[in-house]
Amino acid sequence: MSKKIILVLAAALCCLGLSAQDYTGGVKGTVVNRADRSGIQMASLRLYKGDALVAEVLSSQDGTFLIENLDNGMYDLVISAPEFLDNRVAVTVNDGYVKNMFNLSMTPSRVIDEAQEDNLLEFDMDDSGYNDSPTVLFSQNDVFEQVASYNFSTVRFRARGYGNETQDVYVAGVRLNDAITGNSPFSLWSGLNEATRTKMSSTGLEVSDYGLGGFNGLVNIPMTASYVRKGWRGSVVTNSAFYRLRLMLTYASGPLDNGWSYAFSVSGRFGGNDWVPGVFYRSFAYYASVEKKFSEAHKLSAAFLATPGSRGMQNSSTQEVYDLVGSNFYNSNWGMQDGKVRNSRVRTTHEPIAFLKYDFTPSYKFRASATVLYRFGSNVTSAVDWYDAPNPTPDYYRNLPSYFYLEEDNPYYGGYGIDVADFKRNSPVKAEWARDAWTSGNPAYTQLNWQRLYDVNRASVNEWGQKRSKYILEHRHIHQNDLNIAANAKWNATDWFALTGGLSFRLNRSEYYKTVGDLLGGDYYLNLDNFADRDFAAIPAKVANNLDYFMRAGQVETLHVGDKYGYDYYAHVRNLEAWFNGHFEVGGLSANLGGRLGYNATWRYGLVRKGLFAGLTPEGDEILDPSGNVLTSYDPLTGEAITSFGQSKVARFLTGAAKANLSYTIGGNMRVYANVGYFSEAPTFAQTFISPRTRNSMMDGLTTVKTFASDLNWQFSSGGFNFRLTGYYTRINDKTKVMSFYNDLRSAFTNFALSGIDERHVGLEFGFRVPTPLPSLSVRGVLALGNFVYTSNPRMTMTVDNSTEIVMENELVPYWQSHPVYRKYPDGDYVTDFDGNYVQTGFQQHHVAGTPELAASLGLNWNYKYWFVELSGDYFANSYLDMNPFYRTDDVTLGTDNLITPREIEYMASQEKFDPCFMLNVSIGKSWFIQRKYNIGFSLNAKNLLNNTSVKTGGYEQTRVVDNTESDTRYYRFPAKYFYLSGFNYMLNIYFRF
Amino acid sequence: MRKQIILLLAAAAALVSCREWQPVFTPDYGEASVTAPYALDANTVSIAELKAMYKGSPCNITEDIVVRGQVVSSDQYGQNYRLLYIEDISGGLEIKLGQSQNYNDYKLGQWIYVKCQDLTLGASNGMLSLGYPSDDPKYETAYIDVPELIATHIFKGRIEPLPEPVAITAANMNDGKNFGRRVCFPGVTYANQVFVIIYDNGGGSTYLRNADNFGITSWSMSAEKVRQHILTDRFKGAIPEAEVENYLAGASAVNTSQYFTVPGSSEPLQVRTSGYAKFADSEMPAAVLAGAKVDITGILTVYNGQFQLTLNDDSEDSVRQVF
Repeated sequence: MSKKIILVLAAALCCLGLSAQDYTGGVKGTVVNRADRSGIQMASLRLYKGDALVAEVLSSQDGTFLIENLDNGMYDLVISAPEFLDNRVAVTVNDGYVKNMFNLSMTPSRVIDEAQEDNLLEFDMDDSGYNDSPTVLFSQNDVFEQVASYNFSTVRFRARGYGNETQDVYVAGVRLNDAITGNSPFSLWSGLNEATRTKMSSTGLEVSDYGLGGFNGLVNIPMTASYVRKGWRGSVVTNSAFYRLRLMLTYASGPLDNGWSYAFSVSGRFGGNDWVPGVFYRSFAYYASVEKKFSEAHKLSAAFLATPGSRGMQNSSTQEVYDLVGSNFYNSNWGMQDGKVRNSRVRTTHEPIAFLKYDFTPSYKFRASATVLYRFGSNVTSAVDWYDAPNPTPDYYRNLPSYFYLEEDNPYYGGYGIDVADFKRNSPVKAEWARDAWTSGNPAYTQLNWQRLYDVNRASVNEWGQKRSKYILEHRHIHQNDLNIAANAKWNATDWFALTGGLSFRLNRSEYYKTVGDLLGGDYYLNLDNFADRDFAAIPAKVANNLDYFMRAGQVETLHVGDKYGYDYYAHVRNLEAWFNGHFEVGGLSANLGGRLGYNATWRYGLVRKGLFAGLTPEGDEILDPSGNVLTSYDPLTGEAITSFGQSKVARFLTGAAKANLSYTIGGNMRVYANVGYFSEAPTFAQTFISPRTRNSMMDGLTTVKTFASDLNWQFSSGGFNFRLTGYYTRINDKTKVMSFYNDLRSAFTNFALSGIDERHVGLEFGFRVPTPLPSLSVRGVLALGNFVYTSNPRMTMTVDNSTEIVMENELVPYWQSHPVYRKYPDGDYVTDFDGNYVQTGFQQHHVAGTPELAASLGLNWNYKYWFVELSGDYFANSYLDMNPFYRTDDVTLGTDNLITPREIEYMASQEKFDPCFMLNVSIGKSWFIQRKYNIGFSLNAKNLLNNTSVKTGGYEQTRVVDNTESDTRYYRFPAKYFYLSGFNYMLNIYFRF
Repeated sequence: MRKQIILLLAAAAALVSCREWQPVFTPDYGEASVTAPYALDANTVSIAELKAMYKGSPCNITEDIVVRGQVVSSDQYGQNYRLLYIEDISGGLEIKLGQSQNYNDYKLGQWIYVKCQDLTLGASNGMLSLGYPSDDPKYETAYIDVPELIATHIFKGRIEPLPEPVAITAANMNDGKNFGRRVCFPGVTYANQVFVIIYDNGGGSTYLRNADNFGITSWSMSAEKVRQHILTDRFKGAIPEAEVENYLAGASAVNTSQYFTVPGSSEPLQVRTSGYAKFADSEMPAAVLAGAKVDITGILTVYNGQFQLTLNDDSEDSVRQVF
């Protein structure tokens, strides 16, 4: 008996031994371009045995690949690469040999002009209190994302309605989302399309090899020399929507015999566009990378890149202004100066990135990498600043006809049964004068009047004959110093289990300050607070932006060009994270389980002491001005002295995330997978401090943002048919929002801090590509249908910016999530019941703004002999305007009579929904291969063929109210401001490669 | 080949001169050119001649006439809100400009040319002014207001020194040509009398006037100053104690008249200051409060027969003690 047991055990051990034994079979070959037989690097090769994915590799720089340790049998090899049509071959491994497939040819498809971040005009929202940052998807082998990334970017579509900061963007394995705002950092490498073309991305809740990721995808851009396509690539682009001319030249050596490889790229973007005047580019970009492969196991890479340049910005305006000038692309930022166009809002940046990366790949079972990345440089935005002088903005509301007279049916202030007579604007003749000025086309009225600014400054002569500027051009600086260290590793422990994990550390110190850019004809400016000067004229020390200087000199600082003024502070962020993910595969079933733990700390360090928030002496005493007035002010809630100089409290958070994915592959062509995740993230610096330009005060009750996200997916790919269907459900809780704006009811600049904002994002995504009976013709389409709504009424604290006064403390914003809808008679009056109460019939839900909830596209693709033509139609609907919380408070809906009426509620709280729109686009292109070595081609993309110039892509409600009324019972909104999509536009790209 | 190159360069040059390329090739805009001061001598009438056109009801001016004068008022310190006063040798004129912080554009002593066609002469409580035809029957003139209206009717000339203020005594106090002019009342003394209306939050008010200054020794009062008075002595008890909360809640900046005695005249002079003036809460000089003689200079206006003087500021140019 014991012998039998031993034999059985031995046999079992042998089996185990066999199962643990490496197989000797494999597959190898070279992926080549059908046209010129050049090797295609970074092609994805997925090997299936029946239902199960057995191996996944990328081709090397010369296109070669090797998959080892395969058992004998029949396999399917699926090959895909950007800019090529997918290929699929059957492979048989016999007798433990490595099967040589030799050349596997790929047919070039259309050149996909990826939506680049520089294809999105930057909207000037700095002073609006709002934030608008689009997301950029990356065309993948995923049919939905391929279309959505290109077709939907122009309407600033955000996938699943998620904010821009939820998309993780990595460079060389380092997460590089902006440390202060969380926004994606694409502008840091815009213009370096070739150097950043290779991307590894995951969508939604999928896990990446570079990080656990969030719930809105992760993209890693390697940016090292080996990932840049070998050879020369150049292009000349002209387009009519962004910049008139782009020149780009890239060269990559490919792997050299001595193990080195290098790459460089330079580009320039210049000119304006057909649609928005005053917007221009004068931007350059440069990139250099070098790599040394010491052995198969060790590789060191370095890269340095930057995109220095300037670009003029676009501003939004009200519909009244657009109608007056006859264009939805009016831009108030520019004016004429001695016959030249001068834009007051110019963003000038030079923010280089440098990194060093070490890769360690001792075997196919294990690989690791570590990166040290440093981002630095400056980002400067100019703007007109003024002191005790009329607002120079040309479309200031007092310059418009509506300020003088409102017609009964005027579309700007009307709606909801408003009686325009209540506005006390009764001067039709004056309105005609104002209208004449706007329709005259005279830039002295319709644009910024630079001449007047110079005239005022030159006439402002003091008793010593010096000209004190009343208007200047200020430069708002952000200097980032961002040090990142990240390491990640992947261990293929067995053929059914792989473990990935990593560590990251971030240290960021960004300095915010402003300087005098141009005195506009004057000799000096003074460093004082405009609003404080109005309110605290009797205590000059309170007016000083630099109190320490005032105390030494007895007066405020006199400023010249280049001098710092206004504010000066550091924003500090420290971040430490560790993550892991376990990947399991058994047969056609695969699963991931991962987690992340992190620590986040943020604080402010003031470099200048503001007179309004003097704080305490180092000894802890109150600070007095020379006349003995106490300058120290105290927080009414905490009783602590409010400081502007020195370090604030530190906001510390423990963060974490957990993800689980389950996937089942059926028959090699079909996959069903589900993802779920929970995330707890720290608020950003921008969401933590109430008014970082003036003081160290933090928002009360700070907490992490918690997100629960889930999705269920079905994917099918076979014989040219591709489908993907996804349903998703996400809840985001405890978001915060900080806004600053001029409050008419308080006649003061106020800060609005909202907390407890909850959202729910639900929807489905469907993408497909199918062949047609006609050869080379395929149909593709996508549908994104979502519902992104607010599910809570946040709490709000309103503080006056230049004092300690708390106007509202932790009060509910009752009409943020929704507002009640009441029954009306046909004539518009509201129905009341027997008790005199208004009858509520329901409520209107409010939506997350800035992206269409419904986006659909249908297109025809034709590929034949290196021609490609695509015709597509896009439809967008259910897009909403960004809401102003102030309108949705009791303070405003009550009106001056302190009585809430349904009319006031519906008027103030309603959220505007944009009209749906349809767009037609066409793309055409061709490649030529000359002498099997040179590739020349062109692509011409024409968008919005129907020249639809009435498509609102975004906008925001103004924060001011009309409070001077005849009835003196209620308030009225100011009209909203909008951004529009440009009409017909084209992009012509002529490229060459060899 | 040369022709092609020239054509290409010409095309490039055309491209460069195109407006959209200007900012691209202009890293530095330099200084804007200097605006030449305006001057017009044709069709001018004197201020007195213009004012004589008013016959007791709004006079819409249809003739192409120009009136010119030097700016003598300033709103820099919060007085003369949205108004501009100019004068020539014939008299002074109030212009309802409608632009705030206008001292930036119209400097003291600057010659201003006003094309009067389309504008209106009208009176408000006895004070004549030049403005725009009014749509409101309560007022004979409206503010000119609209930027294009101002730009096409009011032109800026040379800046010259301010003319000497006209000395006003009991003898010429009633001369209407001086309304709107910068004048000086020499040797006046503080009458220890004030006129101001204090409001509560329910539409009620208290008039403070007649033979007392109610403890108000500043030129005027901001909202905060009004609150301070209510909390200390309720304007020497003028506000009932039971009403204190209501008046505190309704406290706002108030226009205040401080009275001065003009030698030889039974008519007091009201020095009227806005509650929003930057010197509203500034104490009047102690010597003045004690009855010292002062020369007070400001813009002379009239309100229902009462003379009022508006100071441009509270500096020595406006209030100078006589020694």
